[in-house]
Amino acid sequence: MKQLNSDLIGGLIVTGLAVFFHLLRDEFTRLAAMFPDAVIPVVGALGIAILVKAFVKPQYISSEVFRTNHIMVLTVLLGFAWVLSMKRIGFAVSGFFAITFLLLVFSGKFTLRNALRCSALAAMEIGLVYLVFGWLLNVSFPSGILF
Amino acid sequence: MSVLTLKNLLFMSFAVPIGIMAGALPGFTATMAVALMVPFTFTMEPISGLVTIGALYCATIFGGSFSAILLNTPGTPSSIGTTFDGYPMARQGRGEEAIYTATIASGIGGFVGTIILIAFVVPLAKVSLRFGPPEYFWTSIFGLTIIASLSSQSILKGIAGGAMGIMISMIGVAPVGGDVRFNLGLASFQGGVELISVLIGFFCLPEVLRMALTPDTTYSEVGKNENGKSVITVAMRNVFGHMGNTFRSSVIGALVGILPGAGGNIANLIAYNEAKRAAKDPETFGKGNAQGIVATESSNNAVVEGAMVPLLALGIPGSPPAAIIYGALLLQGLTPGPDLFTKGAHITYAFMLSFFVSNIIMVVMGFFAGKAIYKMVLKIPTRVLAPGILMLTIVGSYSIRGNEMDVLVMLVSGIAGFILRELDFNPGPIVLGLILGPIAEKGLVQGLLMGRMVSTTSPWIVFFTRPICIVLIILSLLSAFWPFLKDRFAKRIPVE
Repeated sequence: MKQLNSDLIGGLIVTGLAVFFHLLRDEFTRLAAMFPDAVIPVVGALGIAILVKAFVKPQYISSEVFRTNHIMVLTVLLGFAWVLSMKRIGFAVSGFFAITFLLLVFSGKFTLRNALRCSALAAMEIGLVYLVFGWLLNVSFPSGILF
Repeated sequence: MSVLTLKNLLFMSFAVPIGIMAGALPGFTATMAVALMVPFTFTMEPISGLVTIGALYCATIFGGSFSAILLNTPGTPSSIGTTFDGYPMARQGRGEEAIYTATIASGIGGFVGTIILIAFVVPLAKVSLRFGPPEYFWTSIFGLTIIASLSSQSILKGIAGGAMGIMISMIGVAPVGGDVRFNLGLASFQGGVELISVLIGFFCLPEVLRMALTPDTTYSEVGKNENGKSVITVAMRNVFGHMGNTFRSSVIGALVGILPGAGGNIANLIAYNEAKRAAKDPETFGKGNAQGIVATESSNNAVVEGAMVPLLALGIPGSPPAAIIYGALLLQGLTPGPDLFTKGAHITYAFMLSFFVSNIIMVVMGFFAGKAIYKMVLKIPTRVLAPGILMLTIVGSYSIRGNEMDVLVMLVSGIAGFILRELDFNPGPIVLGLILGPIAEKGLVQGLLMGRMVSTTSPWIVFFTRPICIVLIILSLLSAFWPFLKDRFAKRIPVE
């Protein structure tokens, strides 16, 4: 089985994040710059230390841990689609479609009967959210052009 | 006796289940729950109004343990540590035991916190006033030393994770200076990265993604309760059989709660660390050790009463929920501070004593709610549960500020949390850095400004000369080097 050097990937992520923050470092006032000036180099140094470890005493993980399937990818995509459309279409309608699709994808049965069952369940879940968060806890959701 | 009227008991019995429900919902904080309840208490008599709010506050903090144990999502930031052992317990088929343990530990924590509140309210409030910026800086450093025990598998990655958390906490308006930093030009980030969104993302979304790998299983296949009827007895043994841990964690919670700005989110991690450090089997922590839950849940509920100390004695609200209770006191015609113990003494003491009653109601309801919720979660198949959890994460992170950017942050944090965990980066240190970063920065910068008054050439001297600072430095050193000291002690014993 293929092995991944987790220290190498981890070190690159930590160092990359430090570089990214360093590039975003603007002309801050003295008081606001004091802490970032101390922290960013520390993060960078820690990232380099992990990279050094990746070559001296590496830790390997099975590449299997990064296995993905279409359900995982669709879950993430539907999550983003729901969030990005909630203000335009409306929280309830976008949520209804997102949850219906998610339930369909997770069940793996793309039949009309299952689609109806999933849409009923999605409508119930969205209704429950409106009842608990909207009505009882006073959270207002975006209504968009539909609802 | 003014607490134990039928009316007050009914109000508290009404507030407790609402609080448990609000706490269990990811993204719904104790502050939001208390703020929503205040308008309903306007017209009540002062004692009734205050005991209702107090009961709600306790129950909300406790409610956070439900989602922490069953969904690996801390319902409130005070339950971060509960996920470490609670979720593994649920996965091992000990979810009911975990919930009952959390219930009893929360009740005991609340009891100890109330005793400390009543007995030491005035002297403890005076001590908390002696905490200045240098002391807060060292408190945050002490908190960061926990990283070593949170990341036992790879200390280097743990420290790097903590430092990354601190770096991410710098996004937004600087606590001193007021500059907007690292916000990528986005107005949504001016207020910083929302901690609860990151928490939900880090702890909850990776679980949904893992469920996506095996959608045909049910939660019950991995989480069937195997202890049967004796589960309450086991839970009681977990709490009462380790009174040292329970009591120590409760005291930690109450003391951290007293410090303005510190709260359950820090207390539960410190208590967890101390429980692990004192345990004979520290290697089992994070793998389903009930003592982890006892520590986090007793400490976070003791924080509630601890937070009342500076509020009632000095009129200083040390936490956001305490600030709302401050407003509720004012609305009832009471001015928080020394006057509460003279003119309004009967109301103040009734309010403080009501925490005993609230905790009893909370434990009773916790048993019923725990069993019902656990059984419900067990019956739901993964293919239905996972989309439901995803919906809760999105709704929860949106409801914090009504900001879609918080939801995007949650989703990105979730993906990052999934990848980082696979690379052996524990999410605990990252979250700890995120919480303690602003406290450390404020303490450091304000402390240095203070130091300039003492010495313009060596302003840092102020961090090493104040008595409480020296105590905190010693504690931090002991905490940081404890794993090495422990190894050394352990090596000596067989020789002798």
